[in-house]
Amino acid sequence: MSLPVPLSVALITDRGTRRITREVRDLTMRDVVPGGHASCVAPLHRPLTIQPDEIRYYGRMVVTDDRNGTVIFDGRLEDPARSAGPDGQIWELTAMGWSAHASDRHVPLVYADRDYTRWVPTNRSPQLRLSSDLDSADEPGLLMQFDTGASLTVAIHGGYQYRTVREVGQKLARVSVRYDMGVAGSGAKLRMDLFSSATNALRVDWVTTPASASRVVGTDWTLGDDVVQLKFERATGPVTAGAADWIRLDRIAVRTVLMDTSGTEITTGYSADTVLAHEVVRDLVGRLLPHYDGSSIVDTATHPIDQLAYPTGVSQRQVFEDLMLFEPGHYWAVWEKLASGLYRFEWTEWPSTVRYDADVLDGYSSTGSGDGLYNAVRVYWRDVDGQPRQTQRTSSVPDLTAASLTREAALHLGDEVGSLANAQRAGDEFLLDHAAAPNAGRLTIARPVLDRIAGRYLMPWEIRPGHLIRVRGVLPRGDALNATTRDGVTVFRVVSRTYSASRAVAELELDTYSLSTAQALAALQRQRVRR
Amino acid sequence: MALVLRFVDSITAGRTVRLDVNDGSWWRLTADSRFDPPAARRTRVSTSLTDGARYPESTYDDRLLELRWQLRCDNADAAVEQLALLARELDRDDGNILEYQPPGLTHTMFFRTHRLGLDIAHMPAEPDWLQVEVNLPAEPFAYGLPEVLPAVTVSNDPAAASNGMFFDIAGVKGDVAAATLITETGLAWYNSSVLFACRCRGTPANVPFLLQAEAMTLGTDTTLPGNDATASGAGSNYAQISFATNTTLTPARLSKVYWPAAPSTDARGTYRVLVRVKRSNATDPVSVRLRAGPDGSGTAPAVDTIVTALTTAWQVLDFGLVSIPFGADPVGYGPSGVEVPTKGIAVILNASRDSGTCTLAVDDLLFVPADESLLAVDAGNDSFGDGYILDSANDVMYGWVTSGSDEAVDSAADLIPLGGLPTLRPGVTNRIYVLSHFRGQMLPSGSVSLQVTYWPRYLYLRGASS
Repeated sequence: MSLPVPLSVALITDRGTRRITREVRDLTMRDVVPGGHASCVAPLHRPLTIQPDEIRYYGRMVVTDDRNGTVIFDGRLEDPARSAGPDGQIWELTAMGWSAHASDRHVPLVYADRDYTRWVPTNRSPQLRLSSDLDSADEPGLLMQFDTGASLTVAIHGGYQYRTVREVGQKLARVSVRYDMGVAGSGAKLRMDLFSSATNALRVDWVTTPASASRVVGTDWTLGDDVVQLKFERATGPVTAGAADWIRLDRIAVRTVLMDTSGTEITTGYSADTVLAHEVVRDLVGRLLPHYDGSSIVDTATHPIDQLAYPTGVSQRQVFEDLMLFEPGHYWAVWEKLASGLYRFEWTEWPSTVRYDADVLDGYSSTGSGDGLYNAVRVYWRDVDGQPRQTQRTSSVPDLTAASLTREAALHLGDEVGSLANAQRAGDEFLLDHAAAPNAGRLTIARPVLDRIAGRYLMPWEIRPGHLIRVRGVLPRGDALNATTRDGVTVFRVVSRTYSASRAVAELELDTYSLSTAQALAALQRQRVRR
Repeated sequence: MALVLRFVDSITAGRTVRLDVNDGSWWRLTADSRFDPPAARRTRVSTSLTDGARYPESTYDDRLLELRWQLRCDNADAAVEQLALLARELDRDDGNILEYQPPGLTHTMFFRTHRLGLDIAHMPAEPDWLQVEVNLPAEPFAYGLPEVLPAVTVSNDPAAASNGMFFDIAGVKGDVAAATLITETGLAWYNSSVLFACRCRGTPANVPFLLQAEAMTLGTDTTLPGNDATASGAGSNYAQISFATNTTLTPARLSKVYWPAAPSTDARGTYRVLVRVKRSNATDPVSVRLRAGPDGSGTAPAVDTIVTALTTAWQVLDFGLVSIPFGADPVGYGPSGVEVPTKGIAVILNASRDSGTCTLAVDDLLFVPADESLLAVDAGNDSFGDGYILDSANDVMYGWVTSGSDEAVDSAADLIPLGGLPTLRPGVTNRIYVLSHFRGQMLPSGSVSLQVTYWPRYLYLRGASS
């Protein structure tokens, strides 16, 4: 079919809707995964001396398919640049997709925290010595010990306090601890107290075999408590402290109360010290992303995250990026505005079924660089006691084995998401993703493409990233016919789609973003400093 | 009749002449003037991987009117005054309208020209005549005088005997899609919605638009209770799902294999599927899933699953787009150009209830054509209270006040029209679908009165019958 491109562009503000299709010089739209609608650029010839009502910061720009009313792009106007030159007076309107909302706020967050450095001494008697400890199995812990010969009266003699949850403005959901003492008996106790409500959640006798205890909101304290203390209590006495009067605490885990997508606090169900990625996603949507609709969040994450804490602040986009380290088979994306007034938000898995069938007739390029192949990765993190740790993960990659080559990458988790389990998971997922060379190539689409799932032909601007595409005309492989994942040869992940109305073609980036200066600069800009 | 060439103030029967540039006194249009049709503008994609090239988009470029005059200049002052008049017409900020009727043609036509200055004005060898040349860009298509069609009443009942959510217009004049104005008056328009769609090919009457629930095969826990005055159609006009034995999405509640029943070329297309349902209570969670496509294994692929809103009023579930046929479609038989008919698709409705006792009534499924132009309009509380106009020439929808002798644009801040405005095409029967309150209850009892005006458009010149 060869007709005018049936797309219309509208600017929507509280002062009305203005259709500007006939006034734009060009239209370039980009969708990406992760992220969703990324950007839309529409240069507009308008006098610079007038501020049009319809051009306002954070006004809505919508591109619609005239044939069926489907929204192709929905974003907020962030860069109404202006210029005057040989081409006349031009407003270069750039709208960003609503994935940008995930970077609007930079706030402290805690979901699961095992960091001992955030447990600080509190109310301790002068004779009580608090220190960190490393046991014979190299497991870090916290030690409470009295000076030998000190007189211990019947009293609570202090201990450790964790107040990070209060600092970040959240609420305690679960606290777990493993404890071990130098001597057994009922004359001394280990206590877990909630500071705000003065609730005693745990009071146990001393034991010489390590034991664990967990306490949760609702059962053991009321919703709202945000400071917890682990303390030494002398129940009988006075007695004279001996060398065995010590308590060792380790495997301390704190979890915070989550929200659902409507912002309602979830007060039950905290049966584990870990949190799942989709639980965090739902919390972020309900807590900090009021413009997102959370109906399209899938509960398919499996990795139990035992460390996810950002007491010095993080954006929601950065949290999503960290979640995808543990669940790289998932991505997040934000698309068009729904009838509810909220933007459609997805947290979903990469599909296992090829969606698009296309060929190379309109243009194809593939770097297929071996630089993307790795058979080892070393993951670095800062452990619960603040000490640097690392672990190496390996895999078997036939091409590297044949070349007798070990290629080892580096991943840095810092202390925000750093733990042995997280490091192992992130490393293993990295290696899975780098077992086949990513395409890092481009496919040009200038004709309708069959959508095998919807059963209809899509025009180039309708193609969405986040799906698998099978490309005919490259090396044919039998297992490409029932592919469930990309193979870097015939079946690829579509990670971005850029459509240009003036060229009437869509450029798809396959597997990874293509190697370009613009992408390299963008990657540099997104780089994070891990703490 | 002499050639007519003059600048006018409007493309209406009551137009006023601004400047006659072939009056036979001062101005003589010479034979080397040209009114060529517009050039094509195409995007060409070609690689060495295949023979030939592709043209993914093509549009018409502006038409260039090459106007050549002789201007009488025996009176220099008067001649300069005439030139000044021409220059002013060419210099109008928003362009101009040039009426043109060659000798012997029955109908006049109009070019909407763009702003431009004179090209050449010089003294040739012949005395007392100034040679004036203007190369004037104009919109690609010439316009005819407006055609005002009789008002039509469109029922919001898709099962109405006539004009059930649509109206037809045939005999449209012109060569290309007309500049179309659709006016709706007399309807209070707050917090409302309307959907317009077009089918302008083949035999629109054969479009598989309405699938009544009562015409589908009843599945698990589904019966026909009788008549509901607020449902479309007569007699037993809705189906009810009780969830008595199964509350999951698994069993088919309603199905149609195939829709439409008979293969045809008119069934081919992309459709936006709307399903009208009503809950018995506003508390229990109830979801509806639409399946559509091939039915080789007894199930068809899922299109979408929608959680119904917690209300006991009728509600319309928008399942998005389905295609007939599903999957690969050659459209034509080899290179012959003959369109092959397509078989219908299987349509299956599932429904689930997570808890409680709610039942679900299903009125109908509407397959709204969505491959030519479809416009979805939302009007908020700040919208107008009288009527509206859809103006495809200016690509705008606006409120319209027609109180007494007052006719004017009405302010509407939160009116959002998204999609393609309907236009009329010559040589075919144009069926325009109108679904009022499609984001609300879409009650079949309502109707709208619409009046269509269009300006035919021409690629070259206007024939006597076109």
